[in-house]
Amino acid sequence: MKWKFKVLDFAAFFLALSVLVSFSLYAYQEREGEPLVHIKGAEEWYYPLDEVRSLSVSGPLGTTEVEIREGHAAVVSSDCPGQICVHQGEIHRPGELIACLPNQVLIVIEAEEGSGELDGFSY
Amino acid sequence: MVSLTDSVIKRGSEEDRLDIIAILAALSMFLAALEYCIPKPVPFMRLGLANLSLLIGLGLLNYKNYVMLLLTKVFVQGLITGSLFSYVILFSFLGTLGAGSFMYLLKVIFKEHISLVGVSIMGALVNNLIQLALAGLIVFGPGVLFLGPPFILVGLCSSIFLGLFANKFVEKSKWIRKVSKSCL
Repeated sequence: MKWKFKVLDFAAFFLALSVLVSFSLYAYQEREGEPLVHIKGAEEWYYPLDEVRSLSVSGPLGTTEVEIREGHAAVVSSDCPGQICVHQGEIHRPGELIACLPNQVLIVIEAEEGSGELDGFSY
Repeated sequence: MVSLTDSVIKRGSEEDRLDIIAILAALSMFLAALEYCIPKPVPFMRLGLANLSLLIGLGLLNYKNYVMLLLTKVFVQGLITGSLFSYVILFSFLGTLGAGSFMYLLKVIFKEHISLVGVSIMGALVNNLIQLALAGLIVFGPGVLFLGPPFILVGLCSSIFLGLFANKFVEKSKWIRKVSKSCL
Protein backbone atom coordinates (compact mmCIF):
# COMPACT_ATOMS: atom_id res chain seq x y z
CA MET A 1 0.00 0.00 0.00
CA LYS A 2 1.47 3.30 -1.05
CA TRP A 3 1.50 5.75 1.83
CA LYS A 4 0.65 9.23 0.72
CA PHE A 5 2.36 11.03 3.57
CA LYS A 6 3.84 14.40 3.00
CA VAL A 7 6.47 16.24 5.03
CA LEU A 8 3.95 18.63 6.50
CA ASP A 9 1.89 15.74 7.84
CA PHE A 10 4.71 14.90 10.21
CA ALA A 11 5.13 18.57 11.01
CA ALA A 12 1.44 18.77 11.87
CA PHE A 13 1.73 15.65 13.99
CA PHE A 14 4.70 16.92 15.96
CA LEU A 15 3.11 20.30 16.41
CA ALA A 16 -0.02 18.70 17.83
CA LEU A 17 2.09 16.41 19.99
CA SER A 18 4.09 19.30 21.44
CA VAL A 19 0.89 21.21 22.20
CA LEU A 20 -0.42 18.13 23.98
CA VAL A 21 2.77 17.62 25.99
CA SER A 22 3.15 21.22 27.07
CA PHE A 23 -0.52 21.41 27.97
CA SER A 24 -0.20 18.27 30.08
CA LEU A 25 2.87 19.57 31.85
CA TYR A 26 1.11 22.81 32.66
CA ALA A 27 -2.16 21.25 33.72
CA TYR A 28 -0.74 18.51 35.90
CA GLN A 29 1.96 20.44 37.71
CA GLU A 30 1.97 20.27 41.50
CA ARG A 31 0.35 23.27 43.05
CA GLU A 32 1.13 24.58 46.50
CA GLY A 33 -1.40 25.82 48.94
CA GLU A 34 -4.42 24.40 50.57
CA PRO A 35 -6.86 22.83 48.14
CA LEU A 36 -10.46 23.87 48.66
CA VAL A 37 -13.67 22.26 47.55
CA HIS A 38 -15.69 24.84 45.68
CA ILE A 39 -19.34 23.86 45.39
CA LYS A 40 -21.75 25.80 43.23
CA GLY A 41 -25.43 25.01 43.26
CA ALA A 42 -28.30 27.22 44.30
CA GLU A 43 -25.74 28.66 46.71
CA GLU A 44 -21.98 28.67 46.74
CA TRP A 45 -19.59 27.19 49.30
CA TYR A 46 -15.89 26.71 49.86
CA TYR A 47 -14.77 23.93 52.17
CA PRO A 48 -11.42 22.39 53.04
CA LEU A 49 -10.84 18.72 52.45
CA ASP A 50 -9.77 17.74 55.95
CA GLU A 51 -13.09 17.61 57.80
CA VAL A 52 -15.81 15.10 57.15
CA ARG A 53 -18.86 16.89 55.82
CA SER A 54 -22.17 16.08 54.15
CA LEU A 55 -23.85 18.74 52.09
CA SER A 56 -27.19 18.94 50.38
CA VAL A 57 -26.87 21.10 47.31
CA SER A 58 -30.11 22.35 45.76
CA GLY A 59 -30.68 22.71 42.09
CA PRO A 60 -33.57 22.96 39.66
CA LEU A 61 -34.12 19.20 39.63
CA GLY A 62 -33.77 18.59 43.34
CA THR A 63 -30.96 17.82 45.74
CA THR A 64 -27.45 16.62 45.09
CA GLU A 65 -25.73 15.09 48.12
CA VAL A 66 -22.03 15.85 48.31
CA GLU A 67 -19.74 14.26 50.85
CA ILE A 68 -16.24 15.31 51.85
CA ARG A 69 -14.25 12.67 53.70
CA GLU A 70 -10.64 11.49 53.93
CA GLY A 71 -9.41 14.28 51.73
CA HIS A 72 -11.81 13.45 48.88
CA ALA A 73 -15.03 14.95 47.64
CA ALA A 74 -17.70 12.91 45.92
CA VAL A 75 -21.35 13.00 44.94
CA VAL A 76 -23.25 10.44 47.00
CA SER A 77 -26.65 10.83 45.39
CA SER A 78 -28.47 13.17 43.10
CA ASP A 79 -31.94 13.80 41.72
CA CYS A 80 -30.79 13.80 38.13
CA PRO A 81 -31.80 11.25 35.46
CA GLY A 82 -28.34 10.29 34.22
CA GLN A 83 -26.52 9.86 37.54
CA ILE A 84 -23.24 10.61 35.78
CA CYS A 85 -22.19 12.78 38.70
CA VAL A 86 -22.58 9.88 41.12
CA HIS A 87 -20.43 7.65 38.94
CA GLN A 88 -17.64 10.20 38.69
CA GLY A 89 -16.09 8.92 41.87
CA GLU A 90 -13.87 10.96 44.12
CA ILE A 91 -11.83 14.05 43.41
CA HIS A 92 -9.11 15.65 45.48
CA ARG A 93 -6.55 17.34 43.20
CA PRO A 94 -6.80 21.02 42.23
CA GLY A 95 -8.48 21.33 38.87
CA GLU A 96 -10.50 18.13 39.20
CA LEU A 97 -14.22 18.58 38.99
CA ILE A 98 -17.53 16.79 39.19
CA ALA A 99 -20.51 18.37 37.53
CA CYS A 100 -24.19 17.55 37.59
CA LEU A 101 -25.28 19.46 34.53
CA PRO A 102 -29.00 18.67 34.78
CA ASN A 103 -29.18 19.86 38.36
CA GLN A 104 -26.64 22.65 37.73
CA VAL A 105 -24.29 21.64 40.49
CA LEU A 106 -20.55 22.04 40.14
CA ILE A 107 -17.86 20.74 42.47
CA VAL A 108 -14.31 21.87 41.73
CA ILE A 109 -11.12 21.48 43.71
CA GLU A 110 -9.25 24.74 43.69
CA ALA A 111 -5.87 25.68 44.99
CA GLU A 112 -5.88 28.62 47.35
CA GLU A 113 -5.42 32.05 45.86
CA GLY A 114 -1.90 33.20 45.32
CA SER A 115 -0.27 29.83 45.30
CA GLY A 116 -0.76 28.55 41.75
CA GLU A 117 -0.45 30.23 38.39
CA LEU A 118 -4.03 31.46 38.35
CA ASP A 119 -4.95 34.78 39.84
CA GLY A 120 -8.64 34.57 39.20
CA PHE A 121 -11.37 32.77 37.32
CA SER A 122 -14.18 33.80 35.10
CA TYR A 123 -17.44 31.99 34.87
CA MET B 1 -35.06 12.74 -7.19
CA VAL B 2 -31.47 13.24 -8.10
CA SER B 3 -29.38 10.18 -8.70
CA LEU B 4 -25.66 10.11 -8.27
CA THR B 5 -24.95 8.13 -11.38
CA ASP B 6 -26.81 10.08 -14.00
CA SER B 7 -27.54 13.63 -13.17
CA VAL B 8 -29.76 16.02 -15.06
CA ILE B 9 -28.22 18.85 -13.09
CA LYS B 10 -25.86 20.84 -15.19
CA ARG B 11 -22.26 20.16 -14.22
CA GLY B 12 -20.59 23.11 -12.60
CA SER B 13 -23.86 24.78 -11.78
CA GLU B 14 -24.82 25.96 -8.35
CA GLU B 15 -27.25 23.06 -7.92
CA ASP B 16 -24.41 20.69 -8.56
CA ARG B 17 -22.42 22.03 -5.65
CA LEU B 18 -25.47 22.14 -3.40
CA ASP B 19 -25.90 18.50 -4.27
CA ILE B 20 -22.42 17.75 -2.97
CA ILE B 21 -22.95 19.79 0.15
CA ALA B 22 -26.18 17.92 0.82
CA ILE B 23 -24.57 14.52 0.36
CA LEU B 24 -21.65 15.38 2.60
CA ALA B 25 -23.96 16.87 5.21
CA ALA B 26 -26.01 13.68 5.17
CA LEU B 27 -22.79 11.73 5.62
CA SER B 28 -21.85 13.80 8.64
CA MET B 29 -25.32 13.25 10.07
CA PHE B 30 -24.86 9.51 9.69
CA LEU B 31 -21.42 9.65 11.27
CA ALA B 32 -22.72 11.80 14.11
CA ALA B 33 -25.42 9.19 14.76
CA LEU B 34 -22.78 6.45 14.61
CA GLU B 35 -20.62 8.28 17.10
CA TYR B 36 -23.62 8.78 19.35
CA CYS B 37 -24.08 5.01 19.48
CA ILE B 38 -20.53 4.39 20.70
CA PRO B 39 -20.52 4.16 24.50
CA LYS B 40 -18.22 6.67 26.10
CA PRO B 41 -16.80 6.30 29.59
CA VAL B 42 -16.58 10.06 29.95
CA PRO B 43 -19.18 12.33 28.33
CA PHE B 44 -16.68 14.70 26.81
CA MET B 45 -14.56 12.31 24.78
CA ARG B 46 -15.57 13.03 21.23
CA LEU B 47 -14.22 11.06 18.30
CA GLY B 48 -15.19 13.62 15.71
CA LEU B 49 -16.25 11.07 13.11
CA ALA B 50 -18.51 13.61 11.45
CA ASN B 51 -15.44 15.60 10.41
CA LEU B 52 -14.83 13.08 7.65
CA SER B 53 -17.30 14.97 5.46
CA LEU B 54 -15.30 18.11 5.97
CA LEU B 55 -12.11 16.39 4.90
CA ILE B 56 -13.74 14.97 1.78
CA GLY B 57 -15.31 18.31 0.95
CA LEU B 58 -12.00 20.15 1.14
CA GLY B 59 -10.98 19.25 -2.35
CA LEU B 60 -14.42 19.71 -3.84
CA LEU B 61 -15.82 23.02 -2.74
CA ASN B 62 -14.91 26.67 -2.89
CA TYR B 63 -14.78 28.56 0.38
CA LYS B 64 -18.30 29.91 0.23
CA ASN B 65 -19.75 26.44 -0.29
CA TYR B 66 -17.37 24.97 2.25
CA VAL B 67 -18.69 27.32 4.91
CA MET B 68 -22.17 26.16 3.98
CA LEU B 69 -20.99 22.61 4.58
CA LEU B 70 -19.55 23.60 7.95
CA LEU B 71 -22.85 25.17 8.98
CA THR B 72 -24.88 22.15 7.93
CA LYS B 73 -22.48 19.88 9.76
CA VAL B 74 -22.94 21.88 12.98
CA PHE B 75 -26.71 21.85 12.53
CA VAL B 76 -26.93 18.17 11.79
CA GLN B 77 -24.60 17.20 14.62
CA GLY B 78 -26.66 19.37 16.94
CA LEU B 79 -29.80 17.55 15.84
CA ILE B 80 -28.32 14.15 16.56
CA THR B 81 -26.77 15.00 19.90
CA GLY B 82 -29.82 16.94 20.96
CA SER B 83 -27.80 20.04 21.70
CA LEU B 84 -29.22 22.18 18.93
CA PHE B 85 -31.03 24.61 21.20
CA SER B 86 -28.61 24.66 24.08
CA TYR B 87 -25.58 26.81 24.64
CA VAL B 88 -23.38 23.82 23.78
CA ILE B 89 -24.12 24.37 20.11
CA LEU B 90 -22.12 27.56 20.37
CA PHE B 91 -19.00 25.56 21.16
CA SER B 92 -19.60 23.27 18.20
CA PHE B 93 -20.36 26.22 15.94
CA LEU B 94 -17.27 28.25 16.79
CA GLY B 95 -15.03 25.21 16.97
CA THR B 96 -16.13 23.77 13.65
CA LEU B 97 -16.12 27.10 11.86
CA GLY B 98 -12.71 28.02 13.18
CA ALA B 99 -11.16 24.62 12.60
CA GLY B 100 -12.84 24.18 9.23
CA SER B 101 -11.63 27.54 7.98
CA PHE B 102 -8.17 26.75 9.24
CA MET B 103 -8.20 23.42 7.40
CA TYR B 104 -9.31 25.17 4.23
CA LEU B 105 -6.53 27.68 4.64
CA LEU B 106 -3.97 24.92 5.12
CA LYS B 107 -5.13 23.16 2.00
CA VAL B 108 -5.02 26.35 -0.03
CA ILE B 109 -1.59 27.42 1.18
CA PHE B 110 0.16 24.07 1.11
CA LYS B 111 -1.76 22.26 -1.63
CA GLU B 112 0.12 19.05 -2.43
CA HIS B 113 2.63 19.39 0.37
CA ILE B 114 0.12 18.36 2.99
CA SER B 115 -2.23 15.43 2.80
CA LEU B 116 -5.56 15.04 4.53
CA VAL B 117 -3.84 13.40 7.51
CA GLY B 118 -1.98 16.56 8.45
CA VAL B 119 -5.02 18.70 7.75
CA SER B 120 -7.14 16.43 9.89
CA ILE B 121 -4.67 16.55 12.79
CA MET B 122 -4.51 20.33 12.68
CA GLY B 123 -8.27 20.67 12.32
CA ALA B 124 -8.89 18.44 15.31
CA LEU B 125 -6.32 20.33 17.37
CA VAL B 126 -7.80 23.74 16.57
CA ASN B 127 -11.34 22.49 17.14
CA ASN B 128 -10.47 20.97 20.52
CA LEU B 129 -8.47 23.97 21.67
CA ILE B 130 -11.28 26.37 20.76
CA GLN B 131 -13.81 24.23 22.59
CA LEU B 132 -11.58 23.85 25.65
CA ALA B 133 -10.97 27.59 25.78
CA LEU B 134 -14.69 28.34 25.50
CA ALA B 135 -15.57 25.71 28.11
CA GLY B 136 -12.96 27.17 30.41
CA LEU B 137 -14.25 30.69 30.01
CA ILE B 138 -17.97 30.07 30.00
CA VAL B 139 -18.69 26.94 31.97
CA PHE B 140 -16.04 25.31 34.04
CA GLY B 141 -13.30 27.77 34.83
CA PRO B 142 -9.83 26.37 35.45
CA GLY B 143 -11.22 22.84 35.78
CA VAL B 144 -10.76 22.37 32.04
CA LEU B 145 -7.04 22.12 32.56
CA PHE B 146 -7.57 18.71 34.02
CA LEU B 147 -9.83 17.50 31.21
CA GLY B 148 -7.79 19.11 28.46
CA PRO B 149 -4.91 16.69 27.77
CA PRO B 150 -6.96 13.49 27.43
CA PHE B 151 -9.44 15.38 25.28
CA ILE B 152 -6.67 16.53 22.94
CA LEU B 153 -5.06 13.10 22.96
CA VAL B 154 -8.25 11.36 21.88
CA GLY B 155 -8.68 14.01 19.18
CA LEU B 156 -5.14 13.48 17.95
CA CYS B 157 -5.53 9.71 17.61
CA SER B 158 -8.93 9.80 15.97
CA SER B 159 -7.94 12.58 13.58
CA ILE B 160 -4.98 10.55 12.33
CA PHE B 161 -7.19 7.59 11.48
CA LEU B 162 -9.84 9.82 9.98
CA GLY B 163 -7.22 11.53 7.84
CA LEU B 164 -5.82 8.20 6.65
CA PHE B 165 -9.27 7.03 5.68
CA ALA B 166 -10.07 10.30 3.93
CA ASN B 167 -6.82 10.11 2.00
CA LYS B 168 -7.57 6.63 0.75
CA PHE B 169 -11.15 7.54 -0.04
CA VAL B 170 -10.31 10.61 -2.08
CA GLU B 171 -7.66 8.64 -3.92
CA LYS B 172 -9.83 5.67 -4.82
CA SER B 173 -13.38 6.94 -5.03
CA LYS B 174 -15.05 7.09 -8.43
CA TRP B 175 -17.62 9.49 -7.09
CA ILE B 176 -14.93 11.99 -6.17
CA ARG B 177 -13.37 11.68 -9.59
CA LYS B 178 -16.69 12.26 -11.29
CA VAL B 179 -17.68 15.11 -9.11
CA SER B 180 -14.42 17.01 -8.91
CA LYS B 181 -14.30 17.59 -12.65
CA SER B 182 -17.12 20.01 -12.25
CA CYS B 183 -16.32 21.78 -9.03
CA LEU B 184 -14.54 24.81 -7.73
